[in-house]
Amino acid sequence: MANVTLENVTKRFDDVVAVNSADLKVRDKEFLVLVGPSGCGKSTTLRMVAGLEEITEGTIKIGDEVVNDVPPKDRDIAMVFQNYALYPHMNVYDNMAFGLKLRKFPKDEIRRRVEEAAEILGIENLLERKPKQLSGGQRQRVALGRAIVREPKVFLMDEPLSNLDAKLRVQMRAELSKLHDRLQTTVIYVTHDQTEAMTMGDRIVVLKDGFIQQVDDPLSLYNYPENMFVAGFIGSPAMNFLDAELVKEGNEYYLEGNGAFKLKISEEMINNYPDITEAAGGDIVFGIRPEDLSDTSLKQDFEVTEDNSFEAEVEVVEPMGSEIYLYLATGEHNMIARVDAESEAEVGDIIKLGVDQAKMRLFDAETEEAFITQSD
Amino acid sequence: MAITLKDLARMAGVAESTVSRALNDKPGVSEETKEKILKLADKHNYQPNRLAQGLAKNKTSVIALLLPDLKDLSYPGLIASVEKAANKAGYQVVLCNTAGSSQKAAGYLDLLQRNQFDGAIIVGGTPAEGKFLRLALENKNNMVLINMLLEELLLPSHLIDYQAEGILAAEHLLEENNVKPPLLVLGNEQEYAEMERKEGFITTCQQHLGSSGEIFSGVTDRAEGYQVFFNIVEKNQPPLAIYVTENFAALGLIEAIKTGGYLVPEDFQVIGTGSDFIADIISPKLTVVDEPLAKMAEEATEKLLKMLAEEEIDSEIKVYDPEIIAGGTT
Ligand SMILES: Nc1ncnc2c1ncn2[C@@H]1O[C@H](COP(=O)(O)OP(=O)(O)O)[C@@H](O)[C@H]1O
Ligand SMILES: [Mg+2]
Repeated sequence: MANVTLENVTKRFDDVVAVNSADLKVRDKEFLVLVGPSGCGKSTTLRMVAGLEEITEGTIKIGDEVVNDVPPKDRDIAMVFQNYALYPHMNVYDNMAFGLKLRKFPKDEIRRRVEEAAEILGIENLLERKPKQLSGGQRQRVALGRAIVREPKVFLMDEPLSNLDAKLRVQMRAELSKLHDRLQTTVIYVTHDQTEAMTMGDRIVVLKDGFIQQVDDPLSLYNYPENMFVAGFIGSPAMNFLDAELVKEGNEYYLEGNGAFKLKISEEMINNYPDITEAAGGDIVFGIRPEDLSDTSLKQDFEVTEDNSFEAEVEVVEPMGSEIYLYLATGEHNMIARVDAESEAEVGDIIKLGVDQAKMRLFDAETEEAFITQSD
Repeated sequence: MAITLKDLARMAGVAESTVSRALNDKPGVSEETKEKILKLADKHNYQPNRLAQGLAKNKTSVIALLLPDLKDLSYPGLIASVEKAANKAGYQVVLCNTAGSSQKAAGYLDLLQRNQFDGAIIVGGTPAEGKFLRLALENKNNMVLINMLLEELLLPSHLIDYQAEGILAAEHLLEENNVKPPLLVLGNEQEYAEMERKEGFITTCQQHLGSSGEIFSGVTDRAEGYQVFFNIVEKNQPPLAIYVTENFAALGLIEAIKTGGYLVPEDFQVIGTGSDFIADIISPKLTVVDEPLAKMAEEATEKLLKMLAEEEIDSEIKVYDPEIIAGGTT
């Protein structure tokens, strides 16, 4: 069993608070991804778990043991970084085995572990090869193998793929996910790349400025971001944010975009999230993902009405193969729509955009917190 | 070349202090500028913490040489070699004895981290861990490892291929005596270098003869070397070729062979390790598997100095092959 628990963990470097009162429960056997922009405290968090960085305040547990004062080598963890050494004079077997040799493991045990790791990684037939006879991906696997043979309770990985070219990175992502399934071990994985986080994580921790913003599974994070930061960080192209006023007319609530659009908020949404009504008469931020804006000249999944559509001018058309990115503007608002490749919209056209009402997201203009959250 | 704060400021078209504030998330920078700077920093893999350390850094022109013990006969040569290369570049060398303790090593590395030294050459024994990783992650480019292996990360390292030593020794002995497996006399079998020599030696014997010979281990000094001979001559078909990994043990062994009335190399052939003064005083001069330690130390020092001068280094890891230096014992 290897849960990892952070309780109120803070790390200060002089006056920089790298990690701020973090509370986090990493579940046994889960693939947890820490994601956020550069400098948000991902590596520091991981290093505190590893024992490479002292904790200023708080408690870290691996399993049931408080490890605050346990040196790295006794924490039963293995770390994988982007920059790893494969020794050119050692074959693959020895490159994976030397750590165990140095720790004085018996020969048979070393052989068992290396062979097992090699099998898991699909490199059984490469054990006699020297590093220079390996491809980039194979080398990466050997580096992973070196961590696997330690049979740690937790793998800690800090951007292990960021040195690879794009194609290999995509391939290694998939392999790492498969590897995790086979190993059945807790993995904490750091990346600044939200795509990587979304494709690999069982759950994702979004960090900003040392604060945990949200901890959730990828789909929940995507559909129910708890604040504008998460909403904007997860997803590419990013969610559109349009400044609006929340207007009440009779029993109905509308988003009024300074004359550029007027969109009705569904009754269902108002009923489910009654807090929205408190913003009536004031500013609100309307968030909508590019794929939830559609070109109404094409077939729609919903009925297009005055209440769920508005006009905007096409400024840039970017064909992406199966779909097209339209960069649009209306009034003071700019947005991107990801529309079907059949769209015939051209630069300069004024087109009618449909909004999938169920996908509308609303944020408090002041606090940037979401009104529409999963738990509500 | 690592990117500096200055470079970022130039690229972003702002003052260095703005970059610093943006990177440290201090007020007084617009969101837009901050984002631009962070993007640039990310794109060029800028290491934020270099900044503070860079500013605080007073050049000491001192490098530390961390040694795991002071008994090893090869170290005087290594030290001289480091010192010569360092002095040539205007650096002084401070010797630090870690006595194989990772705590003591961490203490010296603390001094490095606090810029009491400009850089360090660390001679191995144990695997690098904890403090090493922490420092390596700072990317300050101020450490070079000699004969020390690192599992998680890449630090510039210079290494001897110990397994190749065992292979060379076996091949050399088998050249002239290719029926009976040669004897292996090891020092501390728990040491990585010894494990590797043993593996190379035994594997090679097995490849050539289908079997490997007897092994004595824990033989490190003259008296123990002397004793080995009495253990083997009792057998009716003693091995006639012997690989000894410690020259002191080889000295004792050869003395015993001669005392027993036998001749080296006519009756028994012996190969030792490293061309040190013991190899020289043995008569006839000891044939050895030589480790290019002096050259390795010199090149490791030059590499460190290049790194401190922020110059490009050609390769991160350099492995040195041992070679046989023929004396009169084989
Ligand atoms: N050794 C250090 N000394 C001073 N500040 C540091 C040190 N390490 C990290 N920081 C600061 O802590 C913050 C978080 O850094 P880090 O955890 O490396 O971020 P990330 O991995 O998310 O890019 C940054 O502001 C960084 O400058
Ligand atoms: Mg990082």
